[in-house]
Amino acid sequence: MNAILNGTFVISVLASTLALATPLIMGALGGVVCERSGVVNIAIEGIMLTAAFVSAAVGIVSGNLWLALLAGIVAGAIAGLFLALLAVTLRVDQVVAGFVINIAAAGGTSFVFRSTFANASVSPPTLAPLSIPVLSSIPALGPIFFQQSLLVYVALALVPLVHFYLFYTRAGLRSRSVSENPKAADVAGINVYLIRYAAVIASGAFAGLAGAYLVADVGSFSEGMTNGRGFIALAAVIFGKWRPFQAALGALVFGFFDALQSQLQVAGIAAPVPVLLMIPYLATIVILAGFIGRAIPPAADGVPYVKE
Amino acid sequence: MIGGMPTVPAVASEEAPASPGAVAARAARWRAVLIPLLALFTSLVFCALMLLISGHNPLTVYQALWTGALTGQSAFANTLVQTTPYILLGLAVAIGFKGALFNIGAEGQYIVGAIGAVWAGHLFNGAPAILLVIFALLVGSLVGALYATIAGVLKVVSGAHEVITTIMLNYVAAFMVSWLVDYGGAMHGSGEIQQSYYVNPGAQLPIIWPGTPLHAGLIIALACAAGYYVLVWRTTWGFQLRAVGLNPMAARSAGISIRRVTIWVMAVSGALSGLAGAIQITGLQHVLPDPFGSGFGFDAIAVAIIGAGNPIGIVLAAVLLGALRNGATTMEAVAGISGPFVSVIEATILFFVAAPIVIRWIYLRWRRARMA
Repeated sequence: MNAILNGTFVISVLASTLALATPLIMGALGGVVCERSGVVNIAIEGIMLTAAFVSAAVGIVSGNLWLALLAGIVAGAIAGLFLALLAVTLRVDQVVAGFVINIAAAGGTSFVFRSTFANASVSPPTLAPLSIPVLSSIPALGPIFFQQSLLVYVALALVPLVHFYLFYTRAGLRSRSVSENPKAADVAGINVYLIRYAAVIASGAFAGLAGAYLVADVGSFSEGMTNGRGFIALAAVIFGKWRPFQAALGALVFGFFDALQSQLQVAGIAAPVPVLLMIPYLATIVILAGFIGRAIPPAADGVPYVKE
Repeated sequence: MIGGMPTVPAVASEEAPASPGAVAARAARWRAVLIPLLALFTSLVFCALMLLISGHNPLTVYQALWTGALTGQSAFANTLVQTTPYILLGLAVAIGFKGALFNIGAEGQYIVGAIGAVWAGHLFNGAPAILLVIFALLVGSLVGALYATIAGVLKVVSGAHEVITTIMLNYVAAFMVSWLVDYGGAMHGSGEIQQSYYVNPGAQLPIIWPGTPLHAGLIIALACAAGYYVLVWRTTWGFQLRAVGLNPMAARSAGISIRRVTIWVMAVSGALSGLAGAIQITGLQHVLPDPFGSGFGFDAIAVAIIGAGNPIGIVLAAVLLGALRNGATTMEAVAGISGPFVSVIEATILFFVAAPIVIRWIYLRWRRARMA
């Protein structure tokens, strides 16, 4: 054990923490934006997977990384639009609506994948790490913070932006009021449906970016590749009590445990691999149950609004 | 987040408010039957359009699906074999819905139930067969119940939402299988194949249709569907459960302990899922392969929702899903459509069942257009 817990090991765990937390941060921000308008988004997982697939397909056909990323975001937003249609307009139970998307995404991506590029010889383009000059050569801190891929920085930059939007802009205030008391907001002249549509679509775009990142990170698509990350992102939302910075912190904690297990595997620790693989999921449960206390969601979260 | 009770589109109950007369009740009952049927029909049409667009002949695909699922003794028996766990898993999710709990962990509980049954079923070689089977099934149910209780207790004690905890437990259960039965694992069988040891011949459920794999698990599952009805609608426990599900505040005022109900619902739900896993082992597989049961959790939710939480509906929805899954193999071989397409059909059906408003809109327009 001591042979493993040396400086290099700690640095490599922390460096991959950021990389592994990135899709979780994006997904969690999407979750925060969505639930802060009063819509529960349990479909982050499915939207992520759909976007990953679309992004990979566009990446393979075009060979262009930026186009692939954009395609992921757009696919996510379209999936978000569909969720909004179900949850806001048709007033389907929001958890059930999310599951419609999750099941359709799991089956649909596998189905189309197998009948299109499952055996393609071309791979989607990958995102190379971006070394920030000077800073990246600082010992320890360099590899941890300044040799990450561009999207890691994007994810980190999005956190204060979302915070600013929610707590310092008119639109953010309106969104929060809709999530707490849509009727009062409606009476005050706020268009509840419009706000909710915008938030759910934006949330889809966040999840879509996360899916595109997953593909750009490894340079391939595989069936079910999101592996529960959308749900872990949701756990980060609760962990963060629906606040962007805290949710991102939650994502980092979950990313840390994921990094820990994968680096333990690399280091060849004498523990069965499946047991190591359980770590991030068990950590999610323990953290959710033990460390956050009761989390109170926005008052009207998950409740469809019927305009009178 | 994740609101309280997932209002399952229980087509039967949602018509309740303004139905004083018997006419309205009968109309509601009609709609309860009609809407799922129209949803099924509409989704088949919708998927046919998707197939057409992607350059396939939907008739060939559906015919292959039909043949693979229902034509001939073996196909039909296999559909019923596939149906068996779906009935139990659908009941497991549905009983959670009744108590305002969303147990997405049916998959994990199914998996640990199978682990328990393989372990129990390989002990005591030579003991009387009936005792061995019952023992394996009981152990499977118990393990499933305990596993689900983790999520129930966490919810009660710390407020950790069961949707997240049960999903995480699904992944943990899947890795547990790899850990136990892969090469070098404590329950590994022999050779290079990644599976456990076999259960004793005595710990196998009898075949009820000679010449086919259809085993007595179906009877157990149907008995559980009947038991579900009695438990939910004919016992005090079921009354408390429904009270908590419909209005927790009122239930609490009436002196019902929500905490106790929550833990017990999760336990019963987990027992049903665990039993499903144990039946799959003792009736069909006789061995635990890795991976096992992947995707069953989502299917269980679909069965519970399509079945509108009612035992007959759940059995029918389970048959539907069993037929789709069983027909998928033939569909893949004959029509060249890969198996996961049935999940697309499943999601489409779920969509139309969950949004009956769409179905009403389509068919009312259609009727109006015909009358005009």
